[in-house]
Amino acid sequence: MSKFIYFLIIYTLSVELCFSTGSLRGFVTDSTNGEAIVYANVYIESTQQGVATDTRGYYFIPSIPSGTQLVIVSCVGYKTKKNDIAIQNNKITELNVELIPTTFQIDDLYIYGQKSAENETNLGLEKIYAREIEILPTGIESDIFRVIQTSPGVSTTGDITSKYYVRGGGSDQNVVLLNGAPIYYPYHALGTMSVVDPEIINMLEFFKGGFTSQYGGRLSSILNIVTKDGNKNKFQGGAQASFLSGKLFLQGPIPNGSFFVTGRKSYFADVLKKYFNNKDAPFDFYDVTFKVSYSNQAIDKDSKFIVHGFASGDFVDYEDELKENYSIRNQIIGMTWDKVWSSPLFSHFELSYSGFQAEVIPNLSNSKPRSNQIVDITLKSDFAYVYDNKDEFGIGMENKYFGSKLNVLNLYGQRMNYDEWGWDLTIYSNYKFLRWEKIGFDIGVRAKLLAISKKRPFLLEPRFNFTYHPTALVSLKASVGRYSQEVLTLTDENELISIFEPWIIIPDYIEAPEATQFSAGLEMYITENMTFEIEGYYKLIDNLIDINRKKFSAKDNDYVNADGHSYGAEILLKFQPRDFFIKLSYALGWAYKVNGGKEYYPRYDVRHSANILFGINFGNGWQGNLMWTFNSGMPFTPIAGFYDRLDFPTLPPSLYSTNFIPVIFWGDKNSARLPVYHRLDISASKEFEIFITDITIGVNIINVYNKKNIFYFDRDTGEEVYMLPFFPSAFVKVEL
Amino acid sequence: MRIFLYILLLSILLISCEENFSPKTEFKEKYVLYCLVNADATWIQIQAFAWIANIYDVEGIDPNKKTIKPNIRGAKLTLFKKNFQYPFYEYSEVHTSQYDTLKNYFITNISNPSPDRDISIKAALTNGVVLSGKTSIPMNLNLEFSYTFASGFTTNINKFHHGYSWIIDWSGSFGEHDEHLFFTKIFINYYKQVGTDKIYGSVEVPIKIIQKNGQDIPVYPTYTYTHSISFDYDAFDWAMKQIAGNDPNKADYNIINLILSIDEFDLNLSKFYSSVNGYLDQFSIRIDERTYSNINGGIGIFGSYTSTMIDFEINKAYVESFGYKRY
Repeated sequence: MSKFIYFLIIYTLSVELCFSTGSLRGFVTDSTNGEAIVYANVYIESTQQGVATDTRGYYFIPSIPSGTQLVIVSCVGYKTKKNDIAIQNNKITELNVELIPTTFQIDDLYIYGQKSAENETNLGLEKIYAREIEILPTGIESDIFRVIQTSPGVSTTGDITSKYYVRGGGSDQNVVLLNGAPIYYPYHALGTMSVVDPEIINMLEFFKGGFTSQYGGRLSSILNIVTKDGNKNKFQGGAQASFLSGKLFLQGPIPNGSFFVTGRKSYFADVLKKYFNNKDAPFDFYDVTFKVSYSNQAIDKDSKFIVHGFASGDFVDYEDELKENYSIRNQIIGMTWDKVWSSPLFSHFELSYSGFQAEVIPNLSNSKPRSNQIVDITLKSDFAYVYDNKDEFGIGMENKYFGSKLNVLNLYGQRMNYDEWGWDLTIYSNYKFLRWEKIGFDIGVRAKLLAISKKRPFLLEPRFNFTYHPTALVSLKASVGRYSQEVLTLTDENELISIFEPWIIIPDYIEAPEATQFSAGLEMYITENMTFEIEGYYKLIDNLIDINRKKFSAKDNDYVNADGHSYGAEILLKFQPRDFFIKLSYALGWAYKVNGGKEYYPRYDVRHSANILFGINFGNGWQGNLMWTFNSGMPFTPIAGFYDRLDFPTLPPSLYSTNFIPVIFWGDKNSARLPVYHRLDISASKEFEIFITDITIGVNIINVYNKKNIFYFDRDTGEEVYMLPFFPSAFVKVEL
Repeated sequence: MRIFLYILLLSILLISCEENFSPKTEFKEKYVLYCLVNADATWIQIQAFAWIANIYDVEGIDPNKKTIKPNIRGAKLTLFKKNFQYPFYEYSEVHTSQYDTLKNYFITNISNPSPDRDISIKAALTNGVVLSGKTSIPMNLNLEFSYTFASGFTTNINKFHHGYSWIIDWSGSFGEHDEHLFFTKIFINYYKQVGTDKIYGSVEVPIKIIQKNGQDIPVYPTYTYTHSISFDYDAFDWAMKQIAGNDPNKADYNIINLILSIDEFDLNLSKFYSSVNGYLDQFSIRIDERTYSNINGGIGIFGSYTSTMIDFEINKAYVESFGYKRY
């Protein structure tokens, strides 16, 4: 082992000393508003070296031969810029580039610089631009989770809920990060849509697996939402109205920085009636997001300081003591400090608070009182060093305080109280071998020194990613990693729609879940405007947490351990000729859960799923989109017969008047499949200008051919309950 | 490219065709046993009723369309208490239940099981299937009241000192963690003198009255796991007013008494009742939830319950303040 380390050091030094080279670094921003441009390509023509900017718009290219070099900077939707830059020997040259946006063309949508970052080791990462969210046919509101669900390997259990399941993992195995801080309940209106307003989004990074050592705490997926900084050049404001909600947004410059603030409020909840069994519920929700960026070169050179915040609330507030009320709230306040040091070192510090409160207030109804409070305070620091040979070394630390209070009365009237807190201290490191043209490695590890849950021992989570490029147009990738999770929701699979999904630290009497995931895939350019990806995975999950269905006494534990595994394959084809685009995805997957020695398919196990996304630009501001979704039938528990169940028409029960009612006798859990699900959504929009105002009007139609997709069978009557029917909606957006 | 679009649309249309689908799976024979033991307050002899049936299938998903009677006849049922055995006797008679299903039943009487309250049941069917279960009979409750009425129940008390509610606490045979279900009710019994006839009636007392749109809405007690209940004194006054309602001849009404009853389910029956009547909220959609069963070899419930009942006299002045007479 020591010989190997000596070899690495000597090899690294020798490479650094052999050539007369310098480095180039800087930020790429939008010339109109100063926003960071994520995943822009920065390319050295003579050496054919290239990198993509990160989520902050930052790039660094080492080992450029000294002398004048032509640097080409390009990104989808922007005019390509070329600069002659003098690279000095053993020095870092700075080049900040402002790109000028072009008129949005749909055919630009998927062109981005994967070719320039050929040995990136990011298997399982899907980069989603804000524009991709905008063009998708919307439901009642445009929604980031609808975009996520078009990704192969991501499934959902119905139209009604935005909850998503990644590669056979439970919904609480996914985390949604807003500028690095977790949102514990990222849904509005009982899960119908996301709390994150698409207006604020600059970029989404969606890791379906194989996430690097920087990320942890979840078994299945990471959705990292990077919000806009705000226009650095001028003030801009706007408003949007849909059938459900209205929103306002404002952005503009401040001295040495910019700000962005947006707020959304529901005003006409009637549209939600199609979604719920209770048609008269007075739903109400809001969300507010802000971000302030500050970068003063005189005070702190090459650094950026950001303060961001988010709050959302969902309420059902009957003015009737005989009915229950609900309230769900999220809050985030955070700050980050990014700095580019004089050496090729990049640092990132982050401090955030994320709070979550949910409560069911029964008043005088028969509802069960339930409440949950979460406090998450996270301090995170990352350092990345780029060597001249292009290798990267990263190290970081995450320190988290997590507190959870839960007070519930369950279906059987049993009271549960949890009041737990814990500290998590994790250090992580990774080394990216990017020095070779055709091969890239990313070797990393997360070491958990302190755990939130009392039963979690010291834990090492190794991560390994590999990329091989046999040709410039083809890359083969593989990854293996171990992942752990210590907080989870008490999700009951039998609740298709749930008003209350509390988060808790894993109780002491059960083991904390861990997962190992293997994946391998191929990416290739079939033609200049057609890309093809195929990826396979196998995920083994130990110690899943499941509801103890045999809890009928306060003495029984509320939760039990279960195991699970899943495997499958995913295909993604993107094709963008001149005036339209098509995205085709297909996934084949199997997911299993084992509880009490019995293996069964969880409800989110979808064998075949396919999506077709089609967009066309008609010109003159007209745009049309179509999305067709197909899923093979979800598992459900079939009817195995009927029996007459004892009923108490009077209380106390009289032996002489005791009654019986016929009810369903259910078969083995999830042993049958629903019919296939498919749905076609279309949308059209028109953008035009009146004086200084940009106006967009649009219409959406959900379930165009009114397919009766079965949602579930009523447990009392056995009758079919369907998902969303044919449903048209419209919106108008005004921007100043 | 157009060809591709045509193929796409055609595929969508083809797949859109509705298919036949059945939510049912293969039917398998299974048996249901229900046995309830009513340990009434006399504790001299208690009675056990039992029903046995099989699971059945129907065409479609409406069980009301069943054409066969699910009753099982000829089974040998025995109730065990320590070393004693009590055989059940089978009866058949027209049952007046809404669904007219289980017409025959089994009955046995057993002696007061106290202090050994654990009993078990065994049902041997003619085809060799054996169903069995165990339960523990609850004992009567010991009650405590926040206020005792020396000269009959009245709400004319010093509420500043004694509170605005009548609180009833109880203790019994349940352990600290045995969460039994309790059903509490208070009735005011009366009769109306119509000529020489007496028309008897009763009014249930709510736990409180709330105002909604300017109207009084009574809130009645539901089942509870707690060992306490509180009735607002205002609710008694409201119930008293309901007896005559708008009838101007209030003197025709004779108030007999006030009855407090508390029914206690044993652990098995409590779990069964909760699993059948469990209600989280009006939005959560639950599927294929199973009913609690403590029957080995099949499904069903073997449970017991006791009723504790107390009769209170009502204060004469209080009765007359409403224009009624005291019986």
